[in-house]
Amino acid sequence: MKDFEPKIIAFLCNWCSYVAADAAGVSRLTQQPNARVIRVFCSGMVDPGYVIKAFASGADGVLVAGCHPGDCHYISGNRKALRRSRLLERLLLELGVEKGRFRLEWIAASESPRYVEVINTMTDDIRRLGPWVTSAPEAEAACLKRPSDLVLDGQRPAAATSG
Amino acid sequence: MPAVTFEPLRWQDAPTRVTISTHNAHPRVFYQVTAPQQIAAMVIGRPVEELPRLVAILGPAHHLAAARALDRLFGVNPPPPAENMRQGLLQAVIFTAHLQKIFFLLSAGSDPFAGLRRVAGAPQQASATHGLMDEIMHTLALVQEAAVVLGGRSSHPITAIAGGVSRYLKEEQYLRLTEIAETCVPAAVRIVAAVRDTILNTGAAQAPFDHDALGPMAYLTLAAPTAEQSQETVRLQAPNGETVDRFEVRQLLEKIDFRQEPWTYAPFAFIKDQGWPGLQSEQRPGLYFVGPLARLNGGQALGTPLADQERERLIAGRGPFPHFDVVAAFWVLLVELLQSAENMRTLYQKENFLGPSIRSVPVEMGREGQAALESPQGLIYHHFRVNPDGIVEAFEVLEPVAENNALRCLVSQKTVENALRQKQHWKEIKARLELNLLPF
Amino acid sequence: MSRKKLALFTATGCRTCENMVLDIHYQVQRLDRLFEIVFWPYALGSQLSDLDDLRSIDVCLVAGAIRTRSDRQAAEKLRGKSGLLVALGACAAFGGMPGLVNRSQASGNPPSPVAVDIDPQSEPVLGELEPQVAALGQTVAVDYVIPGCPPTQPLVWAAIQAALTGAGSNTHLSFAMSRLPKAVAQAIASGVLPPRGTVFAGEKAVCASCSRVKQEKGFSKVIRPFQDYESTGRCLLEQGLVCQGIATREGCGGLCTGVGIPCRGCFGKAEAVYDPGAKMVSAISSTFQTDEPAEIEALTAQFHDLVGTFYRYNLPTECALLRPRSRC
Repeated sequence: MKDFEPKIIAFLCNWCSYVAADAAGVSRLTQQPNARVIRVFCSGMVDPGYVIKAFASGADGVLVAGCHPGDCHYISGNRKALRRSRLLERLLLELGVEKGRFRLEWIAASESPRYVEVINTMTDDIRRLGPWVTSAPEAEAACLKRPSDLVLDGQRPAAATSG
Repeated sequence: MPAVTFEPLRWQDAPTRVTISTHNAHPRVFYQVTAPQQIAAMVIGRPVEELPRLVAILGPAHHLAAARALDRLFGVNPPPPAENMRQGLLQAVIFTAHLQKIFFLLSAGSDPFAGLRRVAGAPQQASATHGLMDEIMHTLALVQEAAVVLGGRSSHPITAIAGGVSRYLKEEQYLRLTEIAETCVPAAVRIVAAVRDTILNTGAAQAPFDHDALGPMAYLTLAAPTAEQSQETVRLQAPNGETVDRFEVRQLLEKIDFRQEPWTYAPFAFIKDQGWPGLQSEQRPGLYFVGPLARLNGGQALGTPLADQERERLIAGRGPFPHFDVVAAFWVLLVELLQSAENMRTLYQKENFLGPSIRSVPVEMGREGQAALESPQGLIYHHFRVNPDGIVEAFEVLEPVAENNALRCLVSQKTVENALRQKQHWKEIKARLELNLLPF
Repeated sequence: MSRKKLALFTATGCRTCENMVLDIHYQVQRLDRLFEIVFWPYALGSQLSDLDDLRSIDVCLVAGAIRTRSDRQAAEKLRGKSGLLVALGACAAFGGMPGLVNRSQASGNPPSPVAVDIDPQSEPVLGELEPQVAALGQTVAVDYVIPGCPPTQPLVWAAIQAALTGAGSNTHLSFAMSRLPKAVAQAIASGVLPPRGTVFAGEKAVCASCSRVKQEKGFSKVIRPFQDYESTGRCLLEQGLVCQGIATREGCGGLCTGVGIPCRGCFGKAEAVYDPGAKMVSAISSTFQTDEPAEIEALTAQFHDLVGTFYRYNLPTECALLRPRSRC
């Protein structure tokens, strides 16, 4: 059986945590390769919907990393992220996403060792927790059509409008 | 098992079918509810203040019962304007529920839309009932409008909350309510007279009803406070009218138990200390029914003159109460129609809905709430327990689906037996069965 | 002009949606002039077995969630015979309140009765239950959706009129037209079928129709609806109540908030929302009046039953983490 390798989506803010991650690479600090980075301009622009979408799309963990409070390039973006994070954690917990899979961290541009430590610890924690799997069953073949998939009238089968 | 099935049954609220086993001389008839309701599974884990909205799917009266149970949980009493608004909603709900059954009755045997002026089973001149269906639909729409004004939304009301109601009415709504009440009383009088004279009081030939369909059965009602009893009490009466037991509302689930049969999702409510008697005969102690017929059998004065007069007409036409037959079951709907119309006329006056407050805001929360109420179909009761955060931990409901389950099974059995003896075809048997079940 | 064939059916649910059609004041008679009703168990006594003899249906309104095997089979038959299949009400559209049962089943709550004692020779067997409660659109392809618990009459009538095509517009539709997306309203007015997948409601959130006053102020204390609050006037979310209007599709006209009751999302999620729970987390926490971690923690602790509240009507279909993984 293949060993489980967590997939972690890391939303890194352009001004602090992304710089730290970049510097960690340049400095050749050893880190586990499980994070897929998405650069955002501010941790405050990470909508809770992105986090949920990440889990729905197969992520086992989600990291949101921003500047320390007081250092935000947009003044208060990171505070917005903080305000959301607790309630989001509660929602995730109720949806079956265990504690530890979602993390909000403050990582300054100069803190590349800290970035590495966060990634490594998080990867280990999630490896212990295992893959995240929804408790919902798989849908059957005759599933719903979304509006974008639909065709206009004229392609309906035999039971057509009689007029 | 070789069988004939009628699936689904017309006019039934729950998804139902009737299965008739045909492989021996005595057919056995099963009235089956084919899907589980699972209301407890929906409400457990929810914040308790959400209950009035959640249980509204069981029926609008349940919304009011849940609000009342919340009042008990928080130890508050709604101020008079709020109580009047809730009561006003209840009367509108009773009126529309009963009138819809009359509408269905008159459309029996034909497409209600195509045959609006045809009345089932009555060889009447078309002119006698010419405007009747129109008047029924118009009156239904008017009283539903009143229900929306008082309840906030059609069919699933929302305005009853812990301690009262959520808002005062608007100026133009007071006038409209008064107008509606003034219109629906004479309309009710006309509708009642037409239905009574053309269908219910026509003497010997009572087709299409089989008035032997139900034998005497015990019945349960909510009795209003009296001089002797300051609380509401629940009264169980034997088929002859004698009071067998009388107890407080909060003892209901000590006195009633539920029986589950594997062929129907709806449980059977029965009197616990009599034990489950089975479905052989309605006269076995333990079985009971609820609803308008039970209420009128209970013999309480109706308190409104037109309704009382109609009750006297029923007694003149069918003999004194108690009654257990289908004709009486329809006739009491007419009596309560008049009663609720008269109640609306009394209640829907602006001064009843005004006052310094419409809500007693809760200050502390207990651990348990309960309330009983007479819904259009019969006695309903809610009981719940909450945890210290006010989240529902346990929820039980007693309602006519369970309380009249035995009655429906027995009506079905007797109707089919009689109809088969009279060599009716399956289609006629189905129609007869649906009509016999309609008023309950 | 010959009449189109209409069918109405409720799978597992209350009767309110079907009664909505019956109740449309005076339109009911008009309905008969426009449609031939070929299948309507509740009002006409049609039997499920009649479906086999029906050749075709033009418009089929189905309410209720898919709870039993029999519901699924009926839905599949109706889909096979129907030109247009319309999900009527929140249960058919999204799963509705019965969808909450999926949550409680997960914690080990099977429905009674247990059919082990039955003697199939002498007692009829009840049909099987589906493993989960599902919306109509998770079982068969659905053409139109009329959301709401219950749906509002103007939108039901708009959908019926839309399905008729060629019948022309009607003054009763003006409210519906004002809230429907422009393309849909124009289609109805022109007598053309709106695109498949049309939801008969607005696109924006309920806030767009809500009459309450928004002051852009936050709250520092969570209020539960049994506590004291301004029932008329101020925005409920801003007062500290959970009101889901911000994540919910509009079209009702702000019925509940208009009478002082917070919205609970019965029209399903608004068009632009990915997941209503996520949207509510964002909306609520944005309205916190504090940045202090301890105070944020304290505020958060006062919320309860997030899943049961945010996904009350649409757990089977619109909860991104709990809906079935689709293969299509």
